[in-house]
Amino acid sequence: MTHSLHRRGTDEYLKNDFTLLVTAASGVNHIGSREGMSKILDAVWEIGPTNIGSNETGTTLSGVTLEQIRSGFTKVPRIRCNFGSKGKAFAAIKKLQELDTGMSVTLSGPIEATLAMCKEYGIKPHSINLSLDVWGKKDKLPAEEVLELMTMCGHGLVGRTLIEETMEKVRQGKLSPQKATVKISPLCICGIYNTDRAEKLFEKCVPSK
Amino acid sequence: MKINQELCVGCGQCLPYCPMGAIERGKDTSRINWDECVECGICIRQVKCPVKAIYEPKETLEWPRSVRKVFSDPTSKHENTGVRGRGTEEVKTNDVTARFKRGFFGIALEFGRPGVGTRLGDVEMITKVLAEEEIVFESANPLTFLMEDPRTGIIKADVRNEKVLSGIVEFVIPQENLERVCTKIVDTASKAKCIFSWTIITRFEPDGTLPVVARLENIGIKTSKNMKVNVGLGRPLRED
Amino acid sequence: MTHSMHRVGSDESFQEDYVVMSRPAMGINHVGCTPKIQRTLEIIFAEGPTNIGSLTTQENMTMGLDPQKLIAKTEDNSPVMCCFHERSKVVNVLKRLKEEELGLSVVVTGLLDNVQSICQEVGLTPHSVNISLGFHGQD
Repeated sequence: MTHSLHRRGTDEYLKNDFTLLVTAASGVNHIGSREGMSKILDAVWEIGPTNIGSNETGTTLSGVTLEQIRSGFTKVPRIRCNFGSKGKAFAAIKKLQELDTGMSVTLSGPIEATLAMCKEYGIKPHSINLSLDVWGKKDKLPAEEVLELMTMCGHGLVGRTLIEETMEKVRQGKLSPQKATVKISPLCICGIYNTDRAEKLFEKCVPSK
Repeated sequence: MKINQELCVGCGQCLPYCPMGAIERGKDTSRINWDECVECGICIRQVKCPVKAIYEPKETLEWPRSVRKVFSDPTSKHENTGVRGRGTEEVKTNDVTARFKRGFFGIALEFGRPGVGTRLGDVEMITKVLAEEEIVFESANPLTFLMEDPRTGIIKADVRNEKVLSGIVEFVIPQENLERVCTKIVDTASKAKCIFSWTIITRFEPDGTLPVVARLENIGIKTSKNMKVNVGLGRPLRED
Repeated sequence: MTHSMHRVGSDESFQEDYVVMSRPAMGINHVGCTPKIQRTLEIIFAEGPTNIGSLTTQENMTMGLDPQKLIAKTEDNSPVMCCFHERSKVVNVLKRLKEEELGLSVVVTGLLDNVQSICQEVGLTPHSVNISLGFHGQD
């Protein structure tokens, strides 16, 4: 459950991007939690999130109503929503504090402002999941496994689109690692493209591996 | 490169092959984005176009467009070096040329690599700073040839917007300047508009060690363990 | 001419990745060296490279490159570019090149420790090295 982590962008863009997750802990406090969650849903909706999501029904942005989300609550209900302003996100935390439902709450957003808010509201943060960022890759670069295949042609003639598409075909079982290698390595006419290594790299895409 | 719109059947086979993603699918046909195409020739060489619609128009070879092909297509030759490729023979023939002597380091910054491409003008971000450091750019390098004045690092105005798959800036520094020059490059890189791959060339010490690795680590630059070694077979061997 | 540099991968995946290049130095020892380049190619073909290519014929082994055609088209400035995934073959090629004293420059790209151990086994003193410092910059 780290899908709200690793957001990328400048501080300017991230300063108003908060993701709120309210979660019942299965086997601990999920029984009888639907009523509290229902209240939280109403409270969050009133504050005005950019979106409320639900794995069961879909998101409000895609046209799902609040009632549909509510009726879609499972035995272990969850609320996932995003706020486009710090003020709204912190207002939601304040409201959750008042409702005191005992559900777990996480807020993903800029750490400095979040910690200051906690201090202001008298909340002692419990634990934290910190993104350590993506290492060694630059914004314009594709994934490491694509780079591994790309950089064997130092002239850059084996492009990312072809590699990504070919890897996908191997993943889908439409191409064998060997055929995938034969498909992409002719592009590097120098012959320094190590076909043996390429095949091994493609083998990592085979579904069973 | 261009796609003959009369012939193209819009099958889209060529699309993934372009390293720059410059082939676009239109309503019924595919087209090459003329501004993004770096003239690497992959489409014409490797795509089995069923109707042979991909062609090299005469404009490809007209100045300043022509620089795209010489920098991006390894099969084309730089007229000013006689060597194919984007740079010099660098370490490949160092045992014979002594291009990089003991007491000196060779540095090569390859802009646009890996697989992103660069506008030639974008390299100025670094070349201007290096020129201020009184770096002397390698005269046999095709990118130096495209500088208005190698003492300023400014690229000629008419080629500045030309996009290439990659271009290499090459120069030599005295050993004692390593930390100063590398720190300058790292600082400038954080503001650069494009991406570059970076290499350093050095002689092995008589005892076979490479002290440069530790010196670079001391200033936060990690070297790749995958290195390109001139094994010393070239003759006549030219000592420093 | 640094196209064998900047390969990306784990140390493990480089255990079986060696790029071997050979060429004369233009203006120094390139005149009349075609037979030496051809002999280098013969030695490499005899050993069996994983891949070999040519900018002149614009082909590589995956495209069905014909060794004889490549050798025949060699010129004084033709670079030799190939790769191996077996260490032993690199050793054998270098041994032959050393024995025959062809005098062309040879570079091997691979993990430094591996290349140095190959040189030691062959009896070569590595001359110089080109080290990748990775990718830098941003969009």
